[in-house]
Amino acid sequence: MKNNGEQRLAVFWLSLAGFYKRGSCWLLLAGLCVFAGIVPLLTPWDEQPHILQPARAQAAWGYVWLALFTWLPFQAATLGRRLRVNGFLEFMKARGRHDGALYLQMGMAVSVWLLGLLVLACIICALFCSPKDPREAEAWRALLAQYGALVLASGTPLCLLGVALGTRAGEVVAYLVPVCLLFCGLIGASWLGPLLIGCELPAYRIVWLLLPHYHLADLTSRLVFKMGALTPSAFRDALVYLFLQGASLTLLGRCALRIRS
Amino acid sequence: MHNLASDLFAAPYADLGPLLWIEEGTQMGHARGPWRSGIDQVLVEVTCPVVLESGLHLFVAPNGSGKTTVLRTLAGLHPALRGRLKVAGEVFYVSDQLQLDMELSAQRLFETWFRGSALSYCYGLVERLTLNVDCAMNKLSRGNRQKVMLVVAETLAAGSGPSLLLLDEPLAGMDAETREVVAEFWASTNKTVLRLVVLHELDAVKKADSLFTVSRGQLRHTYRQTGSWAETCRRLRA
Repeated sequence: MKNNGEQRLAVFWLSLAGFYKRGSCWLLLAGLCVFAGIVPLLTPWDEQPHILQPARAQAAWGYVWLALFTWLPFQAATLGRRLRVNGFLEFMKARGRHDGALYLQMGMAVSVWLLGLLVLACIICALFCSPKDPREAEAWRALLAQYGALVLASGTPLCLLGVALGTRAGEVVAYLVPVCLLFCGLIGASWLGPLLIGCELPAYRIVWLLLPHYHLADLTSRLVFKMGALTPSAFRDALVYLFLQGASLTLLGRCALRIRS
Repeated sequence: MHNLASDLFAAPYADLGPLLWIEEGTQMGHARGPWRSGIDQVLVEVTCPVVLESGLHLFVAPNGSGKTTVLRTLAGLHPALRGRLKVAGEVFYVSDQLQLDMELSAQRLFETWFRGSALSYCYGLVERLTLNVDCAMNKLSRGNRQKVMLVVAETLAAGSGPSLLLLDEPLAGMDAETREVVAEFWASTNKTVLRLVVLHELDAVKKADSLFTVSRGQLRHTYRQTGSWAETCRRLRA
């Protein structure tokens, strides 16, 4: 018995087992397939068959963003709250486990479902929506990889923030904060962008700088209109920006993390 | 005392087993105000130095006297208000509120958490305590949920070398027969584990190495049993 038979990353695996048992995670993944299969049929595809494939890609990625507004932050918030209130985090902390390691394990248990969604969305787009022309198909696959990486860089820190706020505040606050950030960065920034950038007032520019820029990760229009992959420099810039933004949110979450029940 | 602590915790003595040392004058309680700037609320003061080795140590005191605060301080979750304490070994703090995912069954929990020999050890304990592992935890009675937590803590402690188990009312909700089984198990495995157990009823525990209590805010400790442990406790508190 001297060889400790404890599973490594116990918090991660136990949190994941909780998700398996509840079962909504499987509905989430199955929902993506159903959504991408059915929603495109609402378009006038029988008159214009060429719109079916882009519509399917749009539906698949739209579902991923929808999950980032709903299931993922909600589960992050409830997981953080549950583990803190139950005293499980305290138990692990007393054993000498580092707060940061506990935080990352909880965050990863939620983010793994985002990863699953991304993989499924990429598979659906690559198998059922890919252009026939080999050159276009290659650009399509590259764009899918870029899209997946950017959404992962955007979504993972939001899940981590949701978990951390769940340990500190109630589920409602922990759910709403990441959702509001995502809304501001994805929809708000897209709407306000032309207004804020075009204005001479410094205050507007500062507001623009302070906004989270999740719209950088939204490549749906490039997929739908087959505009090809981002140039390497544009992709790198977007990825670095989202990574730094995510790192700051993760650190913020780390400060908010509460272990004691 | 500093020298005593240094001697106790210096190698190779630390390899012998778990150790707990609390300095004389250590105060435990709650710090108040922002950044602990207010007046501290001292619940327990250690008037004599405490040195504990592996074995079963009981902690019996009235409600609200600071038992949980002492355990939390020893677990490193609460800083001591004054003084110092040292622990050699891995600490497992099983609070009376500790619960694991209530949707999971005990079997799923054990199989997710443990592997190999640890899992076998865990199921050995399950058999000994006659625990139903198929039910989801939210369908188990309080006593059975306590058994699950006890099995988890004991399995982890058994696989971790020198370890210190801080158990806050682990027998609450258990039937008399199970309490005796647990007490026998503790007596049979007290070589490498230091157990500090908060209890309110001492009837089930016949064999213990020492007893703590809190009287008028002071932590009192004895290794000497006079009569039953319940009588010893009464005398110690007088």
